Amino acid sequence: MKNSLDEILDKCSAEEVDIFMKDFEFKETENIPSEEIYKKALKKSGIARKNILGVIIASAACIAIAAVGITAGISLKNNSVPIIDNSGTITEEIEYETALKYCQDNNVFIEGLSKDDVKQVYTNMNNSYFTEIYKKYQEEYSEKYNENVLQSSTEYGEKKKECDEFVEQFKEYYGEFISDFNEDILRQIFYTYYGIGLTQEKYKEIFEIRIFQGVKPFDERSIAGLSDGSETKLTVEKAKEIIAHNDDFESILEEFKKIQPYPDSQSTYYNNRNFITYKPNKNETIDCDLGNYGFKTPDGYIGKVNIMYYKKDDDGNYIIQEQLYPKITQHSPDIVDISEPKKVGDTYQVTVTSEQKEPFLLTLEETIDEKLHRKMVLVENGKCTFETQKNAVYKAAGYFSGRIDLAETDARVSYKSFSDKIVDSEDYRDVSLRIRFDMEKVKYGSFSVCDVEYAGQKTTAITDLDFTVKNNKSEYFANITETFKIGKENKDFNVNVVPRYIFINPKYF
Amino acid sequence: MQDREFVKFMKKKPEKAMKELTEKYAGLIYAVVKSKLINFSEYIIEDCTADVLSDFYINIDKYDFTKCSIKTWLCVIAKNKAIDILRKSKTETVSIDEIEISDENTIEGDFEEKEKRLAVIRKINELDEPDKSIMIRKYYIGQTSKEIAEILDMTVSSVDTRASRVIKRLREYFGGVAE
Repeated sequence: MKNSLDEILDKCSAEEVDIFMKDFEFKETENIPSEEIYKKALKKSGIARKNILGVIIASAACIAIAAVGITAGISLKNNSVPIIDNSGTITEEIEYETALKYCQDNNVFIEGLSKDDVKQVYTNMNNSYFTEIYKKYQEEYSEKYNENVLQSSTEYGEKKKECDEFVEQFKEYYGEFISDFNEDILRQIFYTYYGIGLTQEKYKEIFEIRIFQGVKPFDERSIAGLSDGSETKLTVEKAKEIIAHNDDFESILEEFKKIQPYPDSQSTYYNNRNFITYKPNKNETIDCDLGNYGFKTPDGYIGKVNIMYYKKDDDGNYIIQEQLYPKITQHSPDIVDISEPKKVGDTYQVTVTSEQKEPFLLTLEETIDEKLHRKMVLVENGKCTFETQKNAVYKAAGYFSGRIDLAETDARVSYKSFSDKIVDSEDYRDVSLRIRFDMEKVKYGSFSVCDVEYAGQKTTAITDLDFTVKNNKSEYFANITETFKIGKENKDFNVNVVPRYIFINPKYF
Repeated sequence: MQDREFVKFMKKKPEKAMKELTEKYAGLIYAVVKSKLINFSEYIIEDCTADVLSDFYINIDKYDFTKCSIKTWLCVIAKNKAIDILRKSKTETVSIDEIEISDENTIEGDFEEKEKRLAVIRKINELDEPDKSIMIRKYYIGQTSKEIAEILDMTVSSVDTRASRVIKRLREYFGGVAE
């Protein structure tokens, strides 16, 4: 290692840097133009515009924030008014009086007008706009609200005060434009939005499903595929070429599917820059994240390549539409029949059948609500049944045979940490689990199936743990919701990884 | 507020969260950017710092709190943003799309290098204060000995002596880490 120390540290991944940075304190803020930086960051990130344009973001709370922004009269520079079109772009800055006329003529939203003029502009616009948003949220939350016990606990004191202020501002600015405006209903909407008085479960349901629907991270559990290194390789150059010659995502995707994406280096995040970001238009982004989590074996490449497509929904959130992984070339997936979800008791089940009686690990593409995930199932004796959702659609992506049974002693846990940081309720806890383990018998492994036990209990939060073994070592992270308590930061808990099978080319075993 | 909670907070109240993010980390980001953009104007450094903060918000779904802290993540973005600017200043046509994929190494080579890198990191992490702070500030954040001396209330020569002593120890341990 002949490099200088700063060069070595510059090569570190974020995870590596975190080893020494996490406890390091850097508090100097003197001589830093923080206020200027903050303003610029707000503008560059689009947050400032979003606040003013809260009206086009379908969120009751954002509407209220917009009201706050208007009250403050922010960014009224040199008596000019920035004009923002419905997509959030500042198109120009014009004089105040001209702005008024411009808004009335063009039905655009503005930043920096006085309260009276805001009303004047909105009066000239289609007043049903707010009514529609208001009704939408009323319908959306009313059912949830019925279950709201509206406890006046101190825990929600601050939020409640904030909501009450929002309601007042909303009423003052928009109340008169909304037919059948009812202050109490609006307050209920806000309370529900902020989870005031809701049970933790209900709050979580609303919060996770409604508020963050568009930005909920996809399933990060990496499912690797063994690719054939002799096939055409998806390189940055190739990806760029495809993007340059196609205008829409569907065509780009088709082109990507024709070639064999596989990773060729171990890289994560920003560090190695093996990604391309392409924006066909302001509402779409395509990220090609090449070389993520991958490594080379004598037979090919193990790992995944993310090609993610983000499109903004009506609320301005990005939705992940598609991810691609390396094709699994070991076998064709056409040996299985997959049923549609069928109701069995209180749940929906899918059955996979195959003429192949030898056990194999099937990789499925699972699509639920237009979101694609990979899922692995173990097919034994030509059959496999698993629970799913009613609207799930499955497609076989590939399979691995060559099952090798493993003994409990084949996996030796070398490190574990269980960070029980966020206490959601007495019954549920959001936790991060990290396990590293050595597998002396396995040099490279593509998939394994394990049970995980800790604190004397087999967790139900992790099923069919899948991981990749490289040089006899493996590591697993999981963010899970657990139903029992272990301790806030615990490295001494008892954890036992019980390997059951590994699916791998036997020559690596 | 834990990092995970902060991410939720940022999604829910971006303006407030950006304020907090700026107050907490702008100094650190500014220092990292400044160390890379030595001959650049204050305006560009300030602009790049703002870019880092906005980039964090725009790409918030790429941040994984289980893998690193927000502080670290911002540092990594800051370094890369600054390097982008440096590259662009040297070859005006180079954009983020054109940054080359890293060299292909053998798996053994990758592994070996990563192992060594981790060993260096661990050695730095095991240092006592003020040596640990000096090394992080000097070799990761990129502050000058003078800046470090002022912050840690030490003399410049003391900072340099301590840093070179650590480097010497690392060199002895690994056989080849140059200053």
